[in-house]
Amino acid sequence: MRSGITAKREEFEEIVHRFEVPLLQYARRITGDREQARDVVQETFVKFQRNGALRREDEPATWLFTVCRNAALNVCRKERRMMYVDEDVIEVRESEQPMPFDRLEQKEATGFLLRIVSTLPVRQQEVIQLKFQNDLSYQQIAEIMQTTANNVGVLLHTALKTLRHRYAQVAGDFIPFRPRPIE
Amino acid sequence: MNVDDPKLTAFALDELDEPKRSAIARAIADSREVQRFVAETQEFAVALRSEYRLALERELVAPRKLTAIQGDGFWSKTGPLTIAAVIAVLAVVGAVMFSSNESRMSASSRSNLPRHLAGDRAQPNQFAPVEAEDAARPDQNEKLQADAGPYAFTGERPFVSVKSRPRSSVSLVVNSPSYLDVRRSINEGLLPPRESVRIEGMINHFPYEYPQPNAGESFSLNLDVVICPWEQTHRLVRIGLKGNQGVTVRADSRIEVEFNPQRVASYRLIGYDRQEAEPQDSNEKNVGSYSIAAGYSLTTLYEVVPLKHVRAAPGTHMPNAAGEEAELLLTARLNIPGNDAASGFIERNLSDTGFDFAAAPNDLKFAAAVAEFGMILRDSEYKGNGSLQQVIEWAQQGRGADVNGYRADFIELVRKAQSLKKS
Repeated sequence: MRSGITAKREEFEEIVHRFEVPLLQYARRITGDREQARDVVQETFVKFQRNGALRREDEPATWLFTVCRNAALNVCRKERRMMYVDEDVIEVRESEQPMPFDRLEQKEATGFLLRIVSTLPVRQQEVIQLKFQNDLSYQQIAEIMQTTANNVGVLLHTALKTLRHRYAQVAGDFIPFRPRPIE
Repeated sequence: MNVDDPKLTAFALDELDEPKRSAIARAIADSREVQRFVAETQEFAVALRSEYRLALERELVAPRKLTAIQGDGFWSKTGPLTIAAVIAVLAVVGAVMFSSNESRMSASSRSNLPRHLAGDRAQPNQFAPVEAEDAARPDQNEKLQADAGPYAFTGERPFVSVKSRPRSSVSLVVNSPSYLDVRRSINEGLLPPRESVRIEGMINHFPYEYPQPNAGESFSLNLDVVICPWEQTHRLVRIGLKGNQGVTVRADSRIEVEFNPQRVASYRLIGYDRQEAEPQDSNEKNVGSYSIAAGYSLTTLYEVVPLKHVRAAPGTHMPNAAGEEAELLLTARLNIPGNDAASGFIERNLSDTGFDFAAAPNDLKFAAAVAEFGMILRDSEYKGNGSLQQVIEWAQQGRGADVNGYRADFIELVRKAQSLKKS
């Protein structure tokens, strides 16, 4: 028979495995810094281990992303980068990388669509990641981002629309079988 | 309802409760534009999930190793339990990766959208016949076509006798979204309907490496031949075209292929299957021009039956012409009307090297795998003795650098199709 400690450890292992990289990417998007993102994620797991027993019955994703998000925003606050903390500013801030498809390491790091995602405003990137990487519902995403499910729907709709538009703009350069008709 | 309504995105992503969902399904029943929007949203959702998963697979090992070696504040804060956890995690990366794939698959197959909506994208004339003379003389090959058996119209291109028709041609434009349709269908747990499998579209969905055009030429035209992997007495010919950005070509521009009747008994263009309702004159609508985008390429496959492997009909005899002429398999020509003679006309010859499939370039192996996958999905009478397992093997052999992970994604798709076929 498995001991309670073994079971608990296995449960934790699985959660670390499942969420570590998504949380790293999520935190990095907010802090803009890889090392700070690692600190934030480690802090999140430490908190989860301390408090996790209380929340055993819940789906851990909402809890983890919420705690991770708050920790990441705290880092920004400490760094006095207030513009990143202000939600409205985050919403309109375009990524610093407009459409930098020519950087080799970027081409290799992620797929074509994800590169376009990285050009969206940060909050739109956030909903896209939570929805399509982590399969969270509008309601769960709303809890994490401290907003309404309606607003999540609008953000996602806008993000997909922009994504589609930019995809069409650049697809000609990447999808070799579709020459552009001349207007 | 218009496509600017966020509720449509929620509908497409299966985020609505039942009464709202049905209400929207009814509201959009008459609008093709809105239905297309929904289908496209779902396509993007599938593609995004897949890219996130691939990106995750790539990142899973690297950052962990870094963490384990560097040993920063994390360890002192978390204690031995977590250290054990992370080490254990390193060992089970593969196993959990599979289980998370499954959960994502089932998530994407939850869609409530009727299949006919999602798949309803084919447009009339989208897949115009590539050989005008085929359409005009459909009974030219009645003897070969008769072998198709008493089944419904399959639209497959038959083997064509070189003696009766030595020339074939293909358009420079493949306008088929087929691969994404096939992919979505399999990811939803359904083998795609035969007519939705457009092999030329599947092959050309993937990027291939061809040399840049020579100085002074607008295109590079590349020919290869190997033993056909699904029918070892046949040859598989690949024609690869790569174009420079900015060249303008007429929509009716074609690559012409002329087979040598002294070497080739018959040939079959792979893919470009005819649609049942396809109008005969669809070529005439193929007017206008295209500007070639950067990175344009076209990959076309022919399955070729060498003369020595077919029974000689009475009255025919093997020519004894010596030298290269006898080895010449085919000549391919690219003629871009309107371009100046120097850059608009390219001609290449291909001789039968008899190379084994194992010696084929990676890209050719991969394209062959995609073609055979399409033929198996269509249950083509020309699929030969290939199997889905072999498709996986050929694709793995031809995977190459696979910078974007498209080929890995294909291999996974074939595996899914394999398990669907078994069930």
